[in-house]
Amino acid sequence: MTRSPLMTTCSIFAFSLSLSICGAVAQEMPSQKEMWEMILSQQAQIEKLEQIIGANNNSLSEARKNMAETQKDMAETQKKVAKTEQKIEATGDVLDHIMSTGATGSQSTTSIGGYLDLHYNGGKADLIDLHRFVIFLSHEFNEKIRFFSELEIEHTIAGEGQVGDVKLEQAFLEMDISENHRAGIGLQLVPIGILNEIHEPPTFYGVERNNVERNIIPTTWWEAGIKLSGNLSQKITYDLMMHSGLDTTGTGYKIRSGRQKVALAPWKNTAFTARAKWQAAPGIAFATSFQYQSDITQSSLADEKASATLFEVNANITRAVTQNGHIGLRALFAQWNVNALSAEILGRDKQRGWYVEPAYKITLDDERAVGIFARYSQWDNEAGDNIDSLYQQTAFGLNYWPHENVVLKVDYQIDSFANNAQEDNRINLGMGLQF
Amino acid sequence: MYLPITLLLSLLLFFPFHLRANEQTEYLSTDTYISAAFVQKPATPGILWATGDIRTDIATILRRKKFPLRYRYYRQGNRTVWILNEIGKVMPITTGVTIEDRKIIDLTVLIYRESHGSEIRFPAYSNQFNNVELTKKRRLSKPINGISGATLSTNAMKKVSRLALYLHKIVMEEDAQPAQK
Repeated sequence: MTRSPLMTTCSIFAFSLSLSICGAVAQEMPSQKEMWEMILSQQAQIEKLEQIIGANNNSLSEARKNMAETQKDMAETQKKVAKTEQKIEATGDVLDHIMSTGATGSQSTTSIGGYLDLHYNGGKADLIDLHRFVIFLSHEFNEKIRFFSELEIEHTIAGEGQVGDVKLEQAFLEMDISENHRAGIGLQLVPIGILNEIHEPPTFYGVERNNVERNIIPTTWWEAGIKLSGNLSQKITYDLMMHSGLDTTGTGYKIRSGRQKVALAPWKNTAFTARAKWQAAPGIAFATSFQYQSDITQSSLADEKASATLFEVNANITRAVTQNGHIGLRALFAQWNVNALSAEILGRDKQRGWYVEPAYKITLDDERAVGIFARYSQWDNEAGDNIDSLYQQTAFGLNYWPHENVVLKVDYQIDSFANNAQEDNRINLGMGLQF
Repeated sequence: MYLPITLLLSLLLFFPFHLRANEQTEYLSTDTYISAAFVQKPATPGILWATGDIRTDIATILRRKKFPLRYRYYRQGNRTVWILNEIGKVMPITTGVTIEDRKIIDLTVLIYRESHGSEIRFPAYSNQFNNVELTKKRRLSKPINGISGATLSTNAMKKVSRLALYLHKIVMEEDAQPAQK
């Protein structure tokens, strides 16, 4: 077997090439020393990396710790916020209490009110008079027991030799018996007429209170006793009062002069008053009262007794006819019957009067209003005989309310009396307020 | 004196105090009134602070400077309920007012403490406020007739109704503001 020359040449070339490559590789390989240095270097790098990782782990745990602390702080802050809100609520409650009650006293359930009545009377009278200054003081013990009082100073100065007077006109305890019934015990206004219980100056027309209620009922009339009041239906209310009565001894059965004003007043004979009121619709009311007293002389002797009855009926209407306009109508009739011979002789066994008062009121804005009225009235405290003793009066005038609780008044009265000498046609001016 | 006392005691014993004027006239507690106004009573009341212009407006409506700093109300949708106190003659009258879509749908006197004018508790009077709303001048949209002998109490009711309508309007406006943005 023989080799070709080409094959032999290739083999020699391949052998030479492999020898040359092995020589080159041997020349590039690091030495052992270099290899050791490289290992040390890499070890240093690994340690460095391990340090970095360790540091990161510490930061992470610290961050977790911080987060926990932050959450704790937040919880505490929330608690503080809640407590602060509670404090704000409590402060707000106190401030609301003060703002609502006016901080008039330690007991917020104690209320103060009042009214004032200043008059100028022209004509023969020609005088000015601060007729009444009244303070209301009320207290609510709880939702079912209340106290009301009214203290009045008349004509500014009271005392010996003075024309004025200090009077306690109301001082009574009112207790709810049930949802629609209540009892009043103490000094109370007798439930008769329109003005006897509600007589604050801004609530009626005319400078002076009308003469029928003054001389016949007689307004303002208060007695001590027990009163039951309430609602029999949505439209019907009642009042029943057992109370001290009149004592006309020495007055010739003059009803107005018989008021004892509950001042060391003899109570030998009790009076009874009943009233029914029908609120036919909002602003339309009709009422009637009846009173019986077994003896208006408070006598203990049977042959001197003078029993008496009072019958009264009234209408009190105020209705809106436009957005700003209200019509008004007040009418009242009252009559006393006194059962005594001596009263008959004086003609005072019958004492009666009536009036009618139409009015129109215009509301100017939220506070201001103006109203006009006319009133015809007649009364006679000696109507039991044939002698003419009738008093007639026509009055007309204007009320101006600069505020709903403040009123300026002007009226003109034309008298027509049986006794002409008593007539006093005149202008009257008045200022009144309530609060 | 013995006869009158006997008569009085007899009257007290036999008087039908148990009679109610009408089942509808029964006094409602505040909670009952609020619950009755909603299908389900809201858990907590809203609070409206009477500050800034709101305070000025309320002073105009009430015609006085002293009144609460905050008013609580209950609300569901467009319906709000307000429990408000306002002095009549000398005593505060506690009134519940329910308003929906800026109109009164109910006004009920919850506690009446005055000695006169208790008729304002009854629907014959309070129904006058139904569907009443506030005009641009913040007055009531229709005239309200009063109760004879209780002028101040009926004036108080007008103030309460105007105030409730105004506060309702503020609550609704505050609610609408984010949506407008």
